[in-house]
Parts: sequence; structure tokens; C-alpha cells
Amino acid sequence: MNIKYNRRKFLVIDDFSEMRKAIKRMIEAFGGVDIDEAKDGKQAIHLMEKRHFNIVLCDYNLGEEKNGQQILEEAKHRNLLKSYDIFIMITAETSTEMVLSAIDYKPDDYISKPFTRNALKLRLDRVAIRKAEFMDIDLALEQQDYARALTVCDQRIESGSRNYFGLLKVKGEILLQAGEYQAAQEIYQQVLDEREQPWAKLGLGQSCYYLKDYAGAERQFQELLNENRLNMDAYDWLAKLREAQGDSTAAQEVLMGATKLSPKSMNRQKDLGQLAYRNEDFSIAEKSYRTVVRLGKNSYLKSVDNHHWLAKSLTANGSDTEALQVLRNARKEFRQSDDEIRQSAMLEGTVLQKLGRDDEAQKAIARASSIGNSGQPASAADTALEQARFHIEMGEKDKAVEILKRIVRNHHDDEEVLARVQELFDEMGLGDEGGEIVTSIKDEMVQLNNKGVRLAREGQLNEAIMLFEEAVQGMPDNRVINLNAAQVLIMHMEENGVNEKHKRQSWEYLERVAKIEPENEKYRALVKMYHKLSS
Amino acid sequence: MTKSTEKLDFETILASSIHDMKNSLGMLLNSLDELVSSLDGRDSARSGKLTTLQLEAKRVNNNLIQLLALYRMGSGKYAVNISDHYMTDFFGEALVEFYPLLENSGVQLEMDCPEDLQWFFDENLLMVVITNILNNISRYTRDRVRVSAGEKDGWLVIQIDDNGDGYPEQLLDLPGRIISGVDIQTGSTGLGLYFSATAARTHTCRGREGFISLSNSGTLGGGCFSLHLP
Repeated sequence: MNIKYNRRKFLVIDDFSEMRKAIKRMIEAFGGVDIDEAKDGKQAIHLMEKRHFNIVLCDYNLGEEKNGQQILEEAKHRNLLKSYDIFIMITAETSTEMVLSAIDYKPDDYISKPFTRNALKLRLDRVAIRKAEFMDIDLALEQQDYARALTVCDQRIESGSRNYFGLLKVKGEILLQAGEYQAAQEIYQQVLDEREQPWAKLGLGQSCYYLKDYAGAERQFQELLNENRLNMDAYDWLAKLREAQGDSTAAQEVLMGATKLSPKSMNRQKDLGQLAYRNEDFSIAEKSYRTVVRLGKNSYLKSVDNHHWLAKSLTANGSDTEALQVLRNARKEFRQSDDEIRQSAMLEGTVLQKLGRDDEAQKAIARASSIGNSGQPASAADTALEQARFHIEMGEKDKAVEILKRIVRNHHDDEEVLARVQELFDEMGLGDEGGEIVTSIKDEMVQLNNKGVRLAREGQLNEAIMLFEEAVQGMPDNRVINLNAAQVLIMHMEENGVNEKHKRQSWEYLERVAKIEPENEKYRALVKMYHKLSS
Repeated sequence: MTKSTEKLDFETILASSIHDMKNSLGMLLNSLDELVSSLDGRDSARSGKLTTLQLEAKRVNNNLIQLLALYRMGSGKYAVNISDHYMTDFFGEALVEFYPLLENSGVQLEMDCPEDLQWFFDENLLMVVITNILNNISRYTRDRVRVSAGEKDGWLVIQIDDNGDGYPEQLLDLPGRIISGVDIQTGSTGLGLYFSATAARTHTCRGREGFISLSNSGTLGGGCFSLHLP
């Protein structure tokens, strides 16, 4: 098959100009004409912002600043590279470092230096053909249209595609994402019956995990590790398994073992830090977050959140002065959202109090409160609970109660959150009143919800839509309300045809639920219905 | 608290040095490649000499990759990556540069493999193995080399046949054993075969382990290198 490269837009990223020129000449030799160059991440991203490239060839090692993987992450995250564009990482050797990381975005392929023109062309051809085959599937997945993605997979498999195993692998992944764990398990078992392959074992383990067959999951992950002690996915999932089994100490140990083998994996270190903090092993938490902050230096995905966690770990370890320094550095380094500024100020206040610097502590607290009044108040459960706790510690009961009420309104059906809310009421010595407040708000929410559902059932869709829209304004994070709001809109469209505004609106509500609980069955069902509307 | 000056472990030193050397080799190979294409088939004497240089550079490069891989496998740091590959695609990439290189040395290279034959192995490791054999084969063969693959009794069998005088006695019995000293005639230390044997062994399936073997009853009348993968 002869692929035409004269229409594709190439970008070559390498810090050596000789190398860039050599690659450019290679591409020209097999038909490429539109080839841009960049010497580092900054230039590369700048170019990608201005032009849409189809094929990017990028050296992994680019000196002190961003490396190839970080460029890929930023490009994907910001949608500068679409799912059908090609990104090939040029590596100096069989990129062990990358294989060991828990990366979110993988390059389409690797090619190791030195390579000649023919080798490059063959590799590119291979990737291009594969991409073409998977393009429809990738696009469907972007829209979370699992039904369509699966249909295309099956079609391709049926027609005897050479990518037989690749398609089955993707099929398994789609089924897992769509929550069809039984079906996923069958696919993986089918593959294993044909030939034992690591990805199929992993998939089978994941299916078992979701089906709560923990013994089965364990068997797969252990087998994988016996075959290859550097199988990082197996470690990550074994840790998840331990957590599900309620043994977070063991989970932490697994992750610690894994990070010894792959210390440079930012995601894994973050997971370890979180886990260690929850297990109150603050020295490990501190160590992990230090690594995360260091590794994240050039990454687009770096977040002030990591600095906050480092500060929390430090202060938990008694290193208050350093914690303060970290917070101050973070303030300088990041342009923070209101939420983040408030969090940072709250943390500073707590630390300063511990250090006995009460004046400064008061100032920080004042800063935190002032932001709380102006911007959109935080209603995501964890942040809000923390905010409430903070006000309680500062002796500001009224403010705390306000926030707690808001939390209940946004999470009236989440027993875990309500339990924590009750705990905070108890702390303030307002246990009984708190209980009453929670119950009455719950009732209010349930009634509101029922009213909306009744209206919808009686066919008064417009009234139902209005009711839920108003409700969503008041409690934007409420999962149930968002789901119902989306549902009535979809019902309306099923009866009366698709309306752009309704379509956009319903998708917005669905996205909010995706952020909270993507595994929610009703959410998944609604997404299916949403996609059916388009076809 | 971490020590401010930590001793660099040897693997890092090795990897960095190799990285450096590969960069130089890369430039070298690129320049040679361009020189050869600029000759465009004329001046066969120059072409031939350049080919020899290319082969030597490729040998050095492959030895570096081997070195690093062996070190990693030995210290349990090699992340083996087994996935499915079509043999024709794999050979396509492995052989692409050897066609012209061997032709310039007067050797005809053939590939013989079913279009739909698919197997499961670590592409990187096998690439090194094939490159190794082909790098050295012009010393063994007269004027023909055939690379073939097929399935037999649940094994993938890859064979590289030549029509030379065959492999020396000592290599036939235990091909994976490193010979002490250097074979003066061929310049071989047996390191390549040692690597091939090790790479083969990392491929296991349902209790069976890969292996290599050498024989002098090849289909072209000379030597035969074969690699069995489960």
C-alpha cells in the first residue's frame, strides 16, 4: 500500500538542528512537502497553536525543558492534536522510562535512533494504516458513543482485518469503559483461550475487579507480575485491588514497591502520596509529593494542588516553616483560580497558627474569607467540607452552617457526604439542630425531585424542564438533579425532535455527572439515549 | 533527607554513554546514507566502500543496543514488551536496509514468509537478533541469504540460511555459550549468539521457552541459524 505524504502537514521536533534537517530530508525523499521544525517544547506548542499538524515526529530528550512526552500531553490535553493525528516519539533506546510510567497519553509509536529513511517510512506507513483503520472508532469514543465504536470494531473484525488482536483489545477497553464488565470478561477470556497475552490478562483482571471477583483479579495480576516483574499496570491494579479489599496499608506497600522500580512516574507518585496521606504515613506522603512537584516542573499537567498536598504533608510532619515556603512559592508560580487561592490562604492560616504567628494567620484567614464571599462558592463535596471545617476551627459557626446547608442541597442522596456533614454539626455542638436541618433539606430535595418526575410522567415536559433548570441553578453539583434535568430534555427531544439548545444543555448536565460519577448506570443509559438522538 | 552527591549507578552511566554514542552513529549513518544515494548507482567502487562503512557502523550500533539490553536483562531492569506482529511487517522493517547493503557486497537477500503469519514477541529484542546475524552473514555466505519464517508444532521458527561453508564446529553444540577468545577469521566473539539465546529465552508460553540452534544442513547448502519461539 502506498501512502501519500504530500498532503500531510509534518512537524519535526528535535534539539539538534542537524538531526532536524536530516529528518526533514528523509520526509521529503518519500513525498512530504509541508514540514515545519521546532527545537523545543515552547516552539513546538507555539506552532501547534497556529497550525494543525497531522504528523508529529518528536525526540523524547529535548534538553532541560519539556521532554517529548510532556509536549504530547499538552498537545492532547489542549486538543491541538486530534485522535486521528499521528505522534511518533523518537527515542535513543528502548524507552524503558516511558514504558514504566503510568502515562495518560501514549504516542502512536516509537522509533529508535539511529534510523534511516526507509525505516522511517516503513514505520510511518504502519502507523498511518493502523490509524486509518481505527479512526472511526476513535472519533466515536471521543463522543463516548460506545455503541457506534463497538459496531465499527465488530465490522472490522468480521471483515478479516489484519488488526484482529488490536481491535479485540480496543473492544475490551470500550466494554470496560461502558461498564459492560461481563461482556468485557468474555472478550478477554476468548483472547486468552487463543493465546496468552499480557494485555488480555490485565483486561481479565480488570473485569474481575469490577465484577467484584477479587480472587480472580488477584490471580491475573499476580501471574502478570510473575511473568514480568516490571509490569507496571499489574502493580497499579494490584494496589487498587488491595484498596477495594479494604487494606490500604497493603495498597500503599504495593505502590511503594512499584515506585522503586519507576521513580519518575508522576501519576503513580501522586497516587502513592494520596494513599500515604490517608494512611497518615506523612513521611511517605511528603516524599512522594516532593517528587511529584519536581517531576511536574515542566509539565502542562502540573497543578497547584500538588503543592498544596506537599504543604499539608510537611505540616503534618511538623515541618511548618517549609510548608509555608512551599505555599508562598506556589502563589508566585501559579496563576490560581479563586478556589485555589482560598485553599492556599486557608492552609497558610492553619500553618501560621501552628507556628504561633497569629497576626499573619489572621490576615491569611481574612484573605480566605473575602474570596469566599465574592466568587462562585465551592460546592464540590470535599472542598466544601474542608471549607466548613475551616470556619468551625476559626469559630465562625454561622458561616460553617451556611456551607453545610449548601452541601446537603448538592448531595442530598450521598449518604457518605451526609454522614460527614452530621459529624461537623456534632463537632459544633449542634448535633440535633444539624440532624433536623439535614432531614428537612433532604425532604425538600426529594419533593422537588418527585414533583419534576411527576410532571414529566404526566407529559408536562416543558414544566418539568423549567423546574429542573431552576433546580440545577441552585445546586449545580447535585447528581440526581443533573441527571433528571438531562433526562427531561432528552425525553422532550425524543418526542419533538432535536433542538440545538436542548442538546447542548443536556450534554452540559451529563458532563457534570461524568465529573462526579462516570460509572453511574443512569448516566450511561442517558448517554446512550443522547447519541441515539443524533442517529 | 537525601544525600546531595549521590553516586551515579552504572546503569545510568551506561545508558548516557550509549545515548551519546548512538547520536554520533546516527549522524554517521545518515551521512553515509545520503552519500550512497547521491551516487545513485554509479561509481560502484565507491558505493561498495561506502557499503562496508555502513555495515560496520550498523554493527557498532547494534552492539551498543545489545550491550544495554543485556545489562538490563541481567539486572532485571528490562521491561519485556510482548505483542502481536505480522512476520512480513516485521521482516520488512528488519531487512529493509540489508537488501542494498548486501547487494553491494554481491550477496542476494531473499525473504520467504506467509502473508498471514502472525506471532507474539518482543519486537525490539528480535530486531537486534536479526540485525546481528545479518550484520555478520556476509562473512559466512558465498552469495545468497534467505530469511524465512513458519509455524511448526506450535512454535514459530525463524531461519536464516546462507550458502557458505557453514558454521565452525564449536558453535554448533552450544551456540549460546560465549567462546573464550576471538575467532580470528570472522572476528566474532559469540556475543551476538549469546544475546540471541538470552533474547529467545525471555519468550515463554505455557511452560515452553524460546531457543536458538545452529546447523550446517541449511536449505541453501551452507549454515543455518534458527530461532524457535513458543
